[in-house]
Amino acid sequence: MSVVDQAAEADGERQTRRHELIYGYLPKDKLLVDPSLGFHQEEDLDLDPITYEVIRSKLWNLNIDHGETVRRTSGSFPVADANDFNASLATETGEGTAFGPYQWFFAGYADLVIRWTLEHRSHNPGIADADVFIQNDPWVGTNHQNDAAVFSPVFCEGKVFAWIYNCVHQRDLGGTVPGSIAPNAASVYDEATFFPPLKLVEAGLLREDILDVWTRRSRHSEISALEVKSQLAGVNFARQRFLEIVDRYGPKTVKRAMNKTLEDSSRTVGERLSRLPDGIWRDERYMAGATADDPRPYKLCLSYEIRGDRLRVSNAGTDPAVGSFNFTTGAFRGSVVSGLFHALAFDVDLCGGGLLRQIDFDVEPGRINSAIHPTAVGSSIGMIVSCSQAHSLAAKMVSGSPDLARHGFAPCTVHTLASAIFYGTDQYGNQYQNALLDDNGGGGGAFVDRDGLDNSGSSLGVSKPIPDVENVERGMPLLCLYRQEALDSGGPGRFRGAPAIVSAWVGHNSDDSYCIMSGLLPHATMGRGVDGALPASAGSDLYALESTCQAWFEGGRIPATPSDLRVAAPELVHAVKELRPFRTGSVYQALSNAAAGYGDPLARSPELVAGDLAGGRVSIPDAGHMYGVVIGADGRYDESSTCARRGTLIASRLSASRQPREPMIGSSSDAPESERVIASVALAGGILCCWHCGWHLAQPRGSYRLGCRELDERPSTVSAHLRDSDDTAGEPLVVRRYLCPGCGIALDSEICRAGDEPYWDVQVTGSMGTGGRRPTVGGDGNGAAAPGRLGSP
Amino acid sequence: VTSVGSPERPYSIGVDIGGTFTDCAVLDDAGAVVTGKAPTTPSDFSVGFFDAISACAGVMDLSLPALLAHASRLAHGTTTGLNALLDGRGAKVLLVTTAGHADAIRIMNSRGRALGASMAELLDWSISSQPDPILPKEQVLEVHERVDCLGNVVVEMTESEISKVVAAVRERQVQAVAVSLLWSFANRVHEDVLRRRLVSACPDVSVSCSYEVAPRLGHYPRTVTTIMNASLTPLMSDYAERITARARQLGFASEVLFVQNDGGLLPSGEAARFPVSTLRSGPVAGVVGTALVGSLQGEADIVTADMGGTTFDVSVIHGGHPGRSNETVIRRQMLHLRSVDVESIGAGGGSIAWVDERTGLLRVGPHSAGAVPGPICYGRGGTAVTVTDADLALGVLNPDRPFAGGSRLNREAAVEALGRLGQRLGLDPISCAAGIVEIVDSLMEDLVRRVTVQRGYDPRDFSLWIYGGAAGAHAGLFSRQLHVRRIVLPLGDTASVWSALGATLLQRRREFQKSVYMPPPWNLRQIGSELQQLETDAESYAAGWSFDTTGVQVRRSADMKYGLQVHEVEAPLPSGPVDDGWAKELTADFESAYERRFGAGTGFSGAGVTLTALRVVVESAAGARSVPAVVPERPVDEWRPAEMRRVFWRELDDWADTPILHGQSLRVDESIDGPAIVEYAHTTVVARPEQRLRMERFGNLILELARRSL
Repeated sequence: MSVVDQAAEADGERQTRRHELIYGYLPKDKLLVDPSLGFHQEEDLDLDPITYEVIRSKLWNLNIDHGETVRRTSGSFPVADANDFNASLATETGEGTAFGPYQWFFAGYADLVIRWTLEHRSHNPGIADADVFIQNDPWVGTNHQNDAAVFSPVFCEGKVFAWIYNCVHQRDLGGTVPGSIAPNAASVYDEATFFPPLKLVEAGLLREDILDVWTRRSRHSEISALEVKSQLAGVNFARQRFLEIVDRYGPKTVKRAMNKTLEDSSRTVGERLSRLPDGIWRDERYMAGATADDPRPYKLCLSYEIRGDRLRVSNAGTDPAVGSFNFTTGAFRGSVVSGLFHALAFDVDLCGGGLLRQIDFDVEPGRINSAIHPTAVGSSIGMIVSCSQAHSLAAKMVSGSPDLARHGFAPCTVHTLASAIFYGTDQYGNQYQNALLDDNGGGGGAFVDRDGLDNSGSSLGVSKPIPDVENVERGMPLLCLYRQEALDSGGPGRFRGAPAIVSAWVGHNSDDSYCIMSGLLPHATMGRGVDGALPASAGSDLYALESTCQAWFEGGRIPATPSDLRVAAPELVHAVKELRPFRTGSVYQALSNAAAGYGDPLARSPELVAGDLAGGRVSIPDAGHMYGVVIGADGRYDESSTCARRGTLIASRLSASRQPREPMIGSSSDAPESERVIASVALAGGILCCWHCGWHLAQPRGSYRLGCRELDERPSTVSAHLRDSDDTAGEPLVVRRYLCPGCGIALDSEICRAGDEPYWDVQVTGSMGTGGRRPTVGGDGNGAAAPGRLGSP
Repeated sequence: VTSVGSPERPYSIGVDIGGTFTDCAVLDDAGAVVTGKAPTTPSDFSVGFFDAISACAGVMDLSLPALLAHASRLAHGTTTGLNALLDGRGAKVLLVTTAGHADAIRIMNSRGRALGASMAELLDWSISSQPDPILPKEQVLEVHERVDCLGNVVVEMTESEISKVVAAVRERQVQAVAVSLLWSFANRVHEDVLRRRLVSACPDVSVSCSYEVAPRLGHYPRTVTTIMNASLTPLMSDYAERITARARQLGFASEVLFVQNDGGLLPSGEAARFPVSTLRSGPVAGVVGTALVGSLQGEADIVTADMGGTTFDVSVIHGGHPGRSNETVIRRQMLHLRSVDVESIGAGGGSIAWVDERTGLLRVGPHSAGAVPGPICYGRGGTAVTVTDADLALGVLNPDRPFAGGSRLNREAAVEALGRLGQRLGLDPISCAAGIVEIVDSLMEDLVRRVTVQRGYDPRDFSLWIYGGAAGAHAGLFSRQLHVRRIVLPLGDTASVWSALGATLLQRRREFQKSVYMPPPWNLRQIGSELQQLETDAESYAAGWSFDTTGVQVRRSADMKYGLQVHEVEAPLPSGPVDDGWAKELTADFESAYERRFGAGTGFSGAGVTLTALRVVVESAAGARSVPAVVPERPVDEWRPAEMRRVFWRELDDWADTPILHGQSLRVDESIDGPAIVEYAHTTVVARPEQRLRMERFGNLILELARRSL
């Protein structure tokens, strides 16, 4: 990116650009930087490949060590235990060349923070060697106020050469609610105070006034100070090590290595986009839980438009911001980066800048996903939904590609986030405040050729562990009654999503303790299945003020299952967004999000279903109801009964479904050998048709959904793990499946209002590549013998 | 100088069983070292064990019984347990755990995908996997009982629950039981009851209790550690008995000792009960041996670097003490194992060089060709270019010397494969080989830097001790920019049996620890009484030691952290009575340890200091020993190169005729200017251009770097 340096011209423009603090900062083509600040941009183009690999690996290791320094010294539970942070190394103008293996959405706004700082701090108070800045302004660029960035320029020969950046979830930065996540905030003024970039360290000297400003608003200012110091430790470590590398190899060589990393990564992403058909890929979905008393669903829209090797991202169609679950443009950008990493940038060593070079953002302001100041944005739950949406749309986008489909897996746990923060007096008589992270438990979404990874945690980053039960009990006045895998919860599909985790906690040794329940309403689940798989449950948390657990204990028993808990705590109700007392005997059950499946469950190999049964993942009723598999007394599936049962289920779903809106006639026999637009929709003989049976669905530039039969069902009738809408006044949400009129296989699914028209999810605008590519779907991932297709139902 | 043993029994024998070879080292009371090797015998490891000792006896012109009869100690590092785990040969185990928590070993705290995975697997979910649960559901039994974090019994375990466990053990015909209940390390009462009842009702079944095997916070890792221990107990008991009986039969008059993960020695009876404590004993013996040899030679601050076939292992010894950690990952499971801290990366002689299709760049590791098929030049069917192939192509390794296994190295095949690889990169075979070495050495350098600088140690205060089969060839490259005080290649050819030599020197040692949670203000009376109990336990344990009791040292330490931090820093505890002055001293010690590790100004006393573990270590005092030495201090003829060989040096960007020397011909104080290569039977040591090798007393080679190296 070039840099404008005419000071006179820049001053007026800089003032204009301050409006970005209202709408959210997205940098223009040229940065306005004070001419007094120089940039070190010379590079040695003759970098040999061996030296490049040596430097690339050194910078990667340096960044890992940076992250580990922060993680090990942080006083923040979410950082140390759940990896809710990231660290990065960026070029002189903020492009990230390496991020750490932690949460990936941070990569989508680290560059915004650095660039805003260049534009608005180079003039006053100035940017100099050994300065360190701190910021948590969501309109500059962060997920929510808790995520605070500490970052520093690295100078070389008197000019800005690079930036070291980290951003961590700080535990409490004030506001009206302990933990700083206010589920019912009406505006940002009910949330933690935020600051745009402040100079925390000036020429190497920590400014105690700024540190006090930062920490005094926290309920735990001493912990907050420790968090800031851990971030400083990371920045100082990384800067020193970086300078050693520059000193050893020379600035021009290192600069070339950083630029080449960006170029290689963006070229890789661009080539992958080029191999996909030009077109627009859309995802529209509903999220609910704007505030405690508002169960209405609101629409969240995202589209990816591929043109050649570039991707244009838009939020057009999203509902206006409402309640407390909104997020800013920077966070939206972060969520898109997080969602695209898996499908397009899984091997570029987390070079966020390289991925971003191929993406253009087209953002309508004032929406849930582009909130303007002073909308409430502190909860983060909307951004997590956006990550899930970006991820599952990317999975659909690559699902027809022979070489990329396996990178586009279904949504993992933490797609419809709920959380509970506990605080009060602990078992030692001290004040405490901590989040119960069990809602982050669970596993991975299914792949095109195998089941999801059990208990992997979410796909928001490399690893998002949950604390050990004993760790939780040591830090909070709680006793864990059980923590187990929830039967039948894994998102049903030809390949199954990983099950949810269910855990229950009883208050123990404190009568002065409270619980703040937060999160989205689970009837609008974001666990959208890929390729016709059913939606996965969003779980749901339950709460009761009183229980008979103590009597159970005295009788030598623990209520050790969810059904036991129903007996011990008959007053259990769904947790809503509010603050409740949590004293000895109160109970809280957390049921995490289940991961979603891939493909129609009736196409699942019966052997895999029998294996699920043996492994305690699926019950006999669900084997029959969901998968059409009949299990005999010996635990094996009965082949002829299964075939008959599946035939009956297909027939009944076809008869219960509506006629296609734009019916087509005919079929193409070469569909299975034809190029695919998405997993189950092929382009054969110039017609979009069902990949399984060749049934014609639409013209090549049309919407295949209009040629499908539509099956709308109440969520609770589809699965005991799905919930019906809490919005009794509004139009109810339904599970809709788009069925091939020929074979009855579900080609796509969603949760929508019954009256919704099908939106155009795949709009091919260009030509499809060379055609005739053999599909890779099916295979032997988990012992499945044949591709996921039915014979003649 | 007191001797290792008595005049009648002057020998100390160390044995290390590796994947391919079983190594043996014999140290006599004058410090002379004899080494020997024999093939490892997986069907019965004890055969290779005694074969290796025989090999040494042969060198010494002694019979095996004569050597054993004159040995005061026989210490043993073994991968028996680890191999059994890796091969799935452990016993069938039933896990008994608290009701509601059977799934802890399936859920793995949501870490299954990440534990033990490579970075490529972490980033690319399409190649990612998860470990199978360590036990199937039908081998887990829940019991109704409960203890809380303060150690209070919340739910009593009833008689019917106990009977249920006994009945299940009988019915399911398991060989071993792992009992791992929540908070058992805070109150062992229910685990103890179950053990007593099971031992009396099912005497043939071995019982492992988590409060003994891994008494630390963390139900999942404690449970996995206990399961692995239970699974290995029958096998290890049998193995230890066989070794002990045979040694006794051959005339060995003392206890056979086993190296444990924390670097101390355990008698065979304890090793049989706690086999999990020997899982990592191989590399650990090398590190602790280095600490002991180093201290005998006057070096207290050492970084060890061990380059073998598949990994490069680095460890820090500070003030004579190796660092220790509390957790380790084995078979993609998290274990609570107190171990000498060894950091590893996949960079060894067998590391595979490959071209990244995406960027067209050359990469090295982390995958290894292993021993089989091994590098291309071994001619055992390997097809991937390895670091060893590159070393051979560059002339660093001698193609005419037989490698382990007896054959000649095939340089032509290595060069041909390098040519194919180089073609994809636009490099000739030799530039490609030089590039591979450059990359792998950079990775190794970064790891050494990580374990020093990132932990707050200044490399300039340390000497770097380099050993392992492949290390001598690479030391001159990867140490160039580390700015360490001294680079030591210890004791000549013993580098290839370094773990066995380490085992001859190790001490009896055991740690007694109590997992606690003590936020400020501390209850000093409670701390005092906990420490007193630990010290009493430690002293009465040491009273039973039957050898080397020249003195016993007892030291205290604690794990501590600020406020609600998750990660702890271990700090030594002051001796003396636990009073206000003690507490003040401790806080100051912790803060300085913290700031040394994480940088000045990072500590924050306002956040308060919390104690999470108290620990008392008892070990036999090192005492004065003879320094192991491999070079007899006698004059030899002036050296001459055994031969000259063409070697490619990247510094010169050219080939140079390079003198090759036999290690045995070097004498003390002799210096060799690079480029030159010193060859031993099992090791090759390289002095690069402008570097110099100097033979020290005892047989160490010191590598001196030039002012200006590439």
